[in-house]
Amino acid sequence: MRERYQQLTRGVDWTPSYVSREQMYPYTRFEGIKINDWEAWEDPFRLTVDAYCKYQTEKDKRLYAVLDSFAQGQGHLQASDARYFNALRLFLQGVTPLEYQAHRHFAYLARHLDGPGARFACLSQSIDELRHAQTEIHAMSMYNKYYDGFHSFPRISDRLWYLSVPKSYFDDGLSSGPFEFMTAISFSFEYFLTNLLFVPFMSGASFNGDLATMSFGFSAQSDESRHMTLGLEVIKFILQQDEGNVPIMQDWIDKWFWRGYRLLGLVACMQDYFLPRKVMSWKEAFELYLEQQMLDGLFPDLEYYGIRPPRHVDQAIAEKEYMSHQVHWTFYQYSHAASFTTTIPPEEELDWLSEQYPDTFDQYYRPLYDKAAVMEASGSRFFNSALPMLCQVCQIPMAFTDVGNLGSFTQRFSEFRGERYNTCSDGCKWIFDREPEKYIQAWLPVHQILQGNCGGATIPEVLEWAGIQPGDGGEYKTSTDAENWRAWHQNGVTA
Amino acid sequence: MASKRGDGMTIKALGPYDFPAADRQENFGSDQLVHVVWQNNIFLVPACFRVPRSMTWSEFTSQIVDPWASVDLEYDADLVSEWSMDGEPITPRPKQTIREIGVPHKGVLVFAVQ
Repeated sequence: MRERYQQLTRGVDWTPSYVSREQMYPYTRFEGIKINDWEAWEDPFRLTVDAYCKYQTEKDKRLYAVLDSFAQGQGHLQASDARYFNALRLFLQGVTPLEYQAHRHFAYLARHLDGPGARFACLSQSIDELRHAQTEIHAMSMYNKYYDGFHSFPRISDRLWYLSVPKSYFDDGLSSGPFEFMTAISFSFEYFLTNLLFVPFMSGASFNGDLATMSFGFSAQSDESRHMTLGLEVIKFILQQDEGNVPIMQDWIDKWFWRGYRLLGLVACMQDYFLPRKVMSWKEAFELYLEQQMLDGLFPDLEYYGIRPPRHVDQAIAEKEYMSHQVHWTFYQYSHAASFTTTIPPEEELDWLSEQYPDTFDQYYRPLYDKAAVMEASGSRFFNSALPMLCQVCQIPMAFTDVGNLGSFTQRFSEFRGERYNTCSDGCKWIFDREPEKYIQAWLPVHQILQGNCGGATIPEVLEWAGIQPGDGGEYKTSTDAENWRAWHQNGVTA
Repeated sequence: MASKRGDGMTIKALGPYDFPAADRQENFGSDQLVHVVWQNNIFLVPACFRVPRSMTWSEFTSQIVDPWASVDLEYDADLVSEWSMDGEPITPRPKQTIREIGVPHKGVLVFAVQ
């Protein structure tokens, strides 16, 4: 196998004679990264095409067998509660389109990197990502028959306000050069932050009776470990190639840590609030996967190359005590304009949040839900009637606070070419100030709605334009999903 | 808190890189965007409004701020004690317009309640 792999990569590579190497691979120099010897690339995994196809076919067979029997047995009724499916909607709308974009961009890298080993690794990952997008869609499509908010996800992903958060994150990577993309996606997303993204969703599925998504997770796991290996290999390879690469990589690690971390705000909210049966809190996950595994495990190794822990990581550590609450409270007041529902956490979940977050929840966030409960009881469930102020970089509403001052929202801004740009944090401001020419082009949904580019001037018109149907968003307790769920279970539909 | 930058090219790109801002002032004609923040209050996320630059301060507070903030039952327009912009207190007269007050496009107005 090793020899066949050598033939597949090195064996079919050639030195161009009609054009120069620079003409053949025009994109691998302008970022300033110097690769002196592509031959030094250690292939992180050695697969041949036939072996790859054989493994993936086996995995697909097993996955689709599970999906079929789950669908035939009305497996959706085994879920912990219909409210759980909000987590899946967020995954389908926010993550699945990123898998597809990753497929496209790794295919591009599979053509444009100079080294044959790196090209083949990217080709395999490109095919993996397409498989993940497909299997996620298939795993979740069965829920579209019974629950709101699963339809039209590609359109919603392109147009709905909070989905510009994952979309713009990935677009930022796609519109960078190949080495920055690999630092952003292969390293930061697939290695550094991946456990914080996938474990909450997949363990959440397992804890909440969602066998379909859990099976997808298992089926993707071996691919993901290959992607993690590639992520680490990429960064070590680039760092070893030239000392001049180190400061460039450090800048990208700083940027893509904060970009990825802000994106994970959506996951933190899902993990602490959307899952009726809790896996672990965001804070616990952050401590385990980020602080222990990455800051204590990975970064001491990277120090050898001259890399220090990412800029602004201290703020992220401080925020583990409250970020999920700030994001969920924002979604709670805007879920009339979302493709998922929210609700005040039931009493036992509020108590769980108090236990998990003893220093912040009761003081700052429980009172918000108490107030919302009074409003709900008087017949006016709290929805914010105005459009939210958005951060120019992460595009999340400006609902974050400074460390040590949780009672007041952070405001940062920069000026560029005579105009003003607002950001939610020092991290996002730092990213803006590095490349203002890029971020001034941001398609901020609120600003686009107010320019009249999104179907009309009223919230119903904008939602229709985005592909939202009645029932997709709003309050969970009065939703069609909640009503159906009660009816199905009262009538003894479950076995 | 604010920083100004020159016009130097910082993006590393293969070719010329010069694109306009997606939400520049001219896209809003005689209107502009104004953000409103309720200081020391985390119930309402800061809001974004499109308003005519000729809108007077009294119209702005009564037609824009009051309806938005009063969803919070603790809001009382009479108790709004102080307005500020980027940390500087401002005391607009009721007839002054958004333009005359000098609120920039996408500027942030912060109020405090007693």
